[in-house]
Amino acid sequence: MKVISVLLVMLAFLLSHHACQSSYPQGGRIYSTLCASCHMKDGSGLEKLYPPLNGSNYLATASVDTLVCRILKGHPGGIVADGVLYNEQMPAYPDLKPAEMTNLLNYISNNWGNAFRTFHPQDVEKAHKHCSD
Amino acid sequence: MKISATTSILCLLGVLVACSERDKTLPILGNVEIVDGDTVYHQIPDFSFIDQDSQIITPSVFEDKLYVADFFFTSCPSICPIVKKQMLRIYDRYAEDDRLLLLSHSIDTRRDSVPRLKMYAGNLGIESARWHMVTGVKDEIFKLANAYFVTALEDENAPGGYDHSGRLILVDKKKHVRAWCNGTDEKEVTRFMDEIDLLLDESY
Repeated sequence: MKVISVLLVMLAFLLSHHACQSSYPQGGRIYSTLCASCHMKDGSGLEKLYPPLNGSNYLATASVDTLVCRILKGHPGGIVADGVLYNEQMPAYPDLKPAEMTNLLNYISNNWGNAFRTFHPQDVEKAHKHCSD
Repeated sequence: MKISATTSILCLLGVLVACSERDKTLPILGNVEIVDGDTVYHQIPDFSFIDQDSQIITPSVFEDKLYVADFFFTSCPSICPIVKKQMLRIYDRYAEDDRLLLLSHSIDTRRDSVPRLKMYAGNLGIESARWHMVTGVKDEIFKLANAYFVTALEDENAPGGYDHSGRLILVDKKKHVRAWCNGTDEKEVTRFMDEIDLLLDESY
């Protein structure tokens, strides 16, 4: 009985430790530095100026090419996401390497309750190359 | 007996604390000058700008009102959206209170034309009667920022080309600055709204 109790405590510790670790830490750091000022720390965006990423159907369904190109090259505005027109300019981040881009996409797709999909480095690298050409 | 003495002291302290909280007023910020023997507090000087609805905005718009001022520009890629989100909290909290207005000065007079401010304000979902977003003569806006104790300057190395602080400034009916906070910090803005409540109680 005692052994089972000890094992349960250890299991609880391991689970809580796992839950406290944030996924994709590099993606989180990049997000804080480059994206959070407009899309906000909690991914909530700002009214009809900056689209939310939290719960965004656009983010959940857009192709890898579209997402990678939006981030690498930016956009002059006029993106319709989830039925709302956003006219503000999206800045370009051409210096993001494919690995950083993968981590960033995985962070925003699997944070704040989002559980959209996992991006694989080879797919992002292909999109990155395609978009940079 | 010992317990009742302690209880009495605690009660007395409680009353004293409650009184000091109720009597708390906000200080008048800025340098105090003595002019011809009179004490003169720092005041926001006169200004004339134009807002998102092409209305001329002068201090007369804020007569008998309190207002919260800030400095920003619409294409600012750094702190402005975060500050605007916090300003929006204030706007929403005092939605039914016409004693408080908001005034956002654009420091990018080149790009932030009236139509540009109109579109930005529209996308933020605000009414111009309660939240004026203004543009005007660049030097006058930068000079006025100093009077609000806000840094605002052109700097080609800063994100978007301008360096500025995200302070929110509370101004009373007599154009005195009474409180400020860092508009990027949600907790500070919560405290700032308590100070707005204090000033509303004091002013009306």
